[in-house]
Amino acid sequence: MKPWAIRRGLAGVIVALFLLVTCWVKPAEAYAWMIRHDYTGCNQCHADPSGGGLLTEYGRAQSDFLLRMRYGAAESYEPPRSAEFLFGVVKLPETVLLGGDIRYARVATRVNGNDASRTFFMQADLAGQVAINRVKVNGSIGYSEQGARQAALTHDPEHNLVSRVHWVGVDIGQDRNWQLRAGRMNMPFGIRTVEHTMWVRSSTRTDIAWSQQHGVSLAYNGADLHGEVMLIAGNFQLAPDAFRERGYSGYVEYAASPHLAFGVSSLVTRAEKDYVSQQSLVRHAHGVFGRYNPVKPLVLLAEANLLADAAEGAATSTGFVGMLQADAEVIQGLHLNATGEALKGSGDYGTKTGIWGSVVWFFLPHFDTRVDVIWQSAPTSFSTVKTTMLLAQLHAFL
Amino acid sequence: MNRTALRVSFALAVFALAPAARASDPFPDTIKMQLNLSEAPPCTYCHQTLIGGLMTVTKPFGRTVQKYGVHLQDVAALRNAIMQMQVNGDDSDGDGVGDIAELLQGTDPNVAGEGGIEADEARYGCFCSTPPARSAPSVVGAAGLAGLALSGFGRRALRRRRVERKT
Repeated sequence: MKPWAIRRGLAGVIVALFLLVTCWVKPAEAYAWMIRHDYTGCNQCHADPSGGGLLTEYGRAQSDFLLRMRYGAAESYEPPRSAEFLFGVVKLPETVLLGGDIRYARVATRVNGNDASRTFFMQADLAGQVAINRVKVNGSIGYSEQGARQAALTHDPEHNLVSRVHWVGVDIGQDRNWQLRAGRMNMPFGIRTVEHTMWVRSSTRTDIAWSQQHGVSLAYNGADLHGEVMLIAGNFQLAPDAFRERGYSGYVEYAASPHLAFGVSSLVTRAEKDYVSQQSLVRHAHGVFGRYNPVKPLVLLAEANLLADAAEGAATSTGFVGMLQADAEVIQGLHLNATGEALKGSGDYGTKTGIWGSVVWFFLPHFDTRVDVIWQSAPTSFSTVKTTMLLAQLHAFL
Repeated sequence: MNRTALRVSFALAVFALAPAARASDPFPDTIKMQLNLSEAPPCTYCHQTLIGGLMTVTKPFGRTVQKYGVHLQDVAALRNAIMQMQVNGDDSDGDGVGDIAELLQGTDPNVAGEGGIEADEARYGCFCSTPPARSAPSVVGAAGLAGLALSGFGRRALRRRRVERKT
């Protein structure tokens, strides 16, 4: 075959892959349980200094060495070509990072005996970063079939082009431990997790699916200490201005040992008109979190936050949200996961409780699948609503 | 073999063509019948999008309905909630006109100013002040441009690899 034909074919495959990806869309990876491999920080593997999303070259290598099932393959210190972007079909310069996520899911739900189910593509994002010396330009773009309107670039009720993050950052300091960024970024708060519907993330509006905000942030990644504080200028993909939340969000995490890290988070925002309650609202969330790896296969993650909502002309209402998760990697690449969570939102009648049972299998390079069974109980003024949800996902990253 | 193939094809076709299940399909028609409305209210009075779906009840009116214990496809609970809301005069947007009164008037119970005090509605997307009439082409166009840029980048990378191999 002639070289030009190969090139044209490859270009066609890339375009087709991109279009395939953009036909679908949700959040990227963020695996806080990587502390079992002595990774207390996130910036070694992720472009985001607080973790999640686009992988660094080192992160791609670790995904092959430490994350996926190896089926008895010999240990290697040389990352295979297949760990690279698009399985190494395209060799990227060192200054460029590219990635993408495709997630396909089936959800079956039973609420008080009534069943519903649907199958859908959850995620289709492309992400990239270009580094020029200490300056980094980072962004993501994708397609959202439904939801994620807070991250939308286009204006339709559904089928929107979305950009969850886009920022410019500069590394500061002799060891480049500091990073100053401006743009749209993930909210630095608590444990950054891929389970974006978990109440610790959704009730504090700090999930990585669509709760990003525009602003300025300063992140620090040292040997034992890391953290980030962000001054929130508002979500400029939401209008009019009255709906934009302004304030701060931040966390600090200290690694007491390679197997134990704990931290504090704090968030205060104010919107002239909250997009949910439609009232002037000051939101508070303050809490603690921790990660502990007592024995190699087991990681415990915990987070607890106090919540407070102060609506104009009304008394401040308080609540809390918390979760405890145990992740057991029975053999490399296969995780059994149990989570308990509780939420008493400011407007809730009582305390909601939830239990997750999950199996996550990183079965091939770039591929993983997971099944979650979620039981939730929510008291209302009339009765207690009991929900059972079965969620199955297939995820691939480019 | 042919019958099996036919069955599989039929099942695949049904799977591919079937619309996504909506969480509470009978709800709009239940409200229409109970309040004797000329049209069923849109899903977006409760849900984030027209698709509806689980865990997408983000609108104030939807939240109010949920407080009365209404959940997935529970039509009896919805009927009861409508009665209770009418009695209690719930006003989700706080504009002085009750939710049920707004439904009867044909106004959105989430938007203050539609039947009450003047206010704005949240809009999503970039350059929100001037949303275009049609944005679907912008999605396709942007996706296409990004794909072309990526393929161009890939070509350059391939060219560079060829040069590296030669040297």
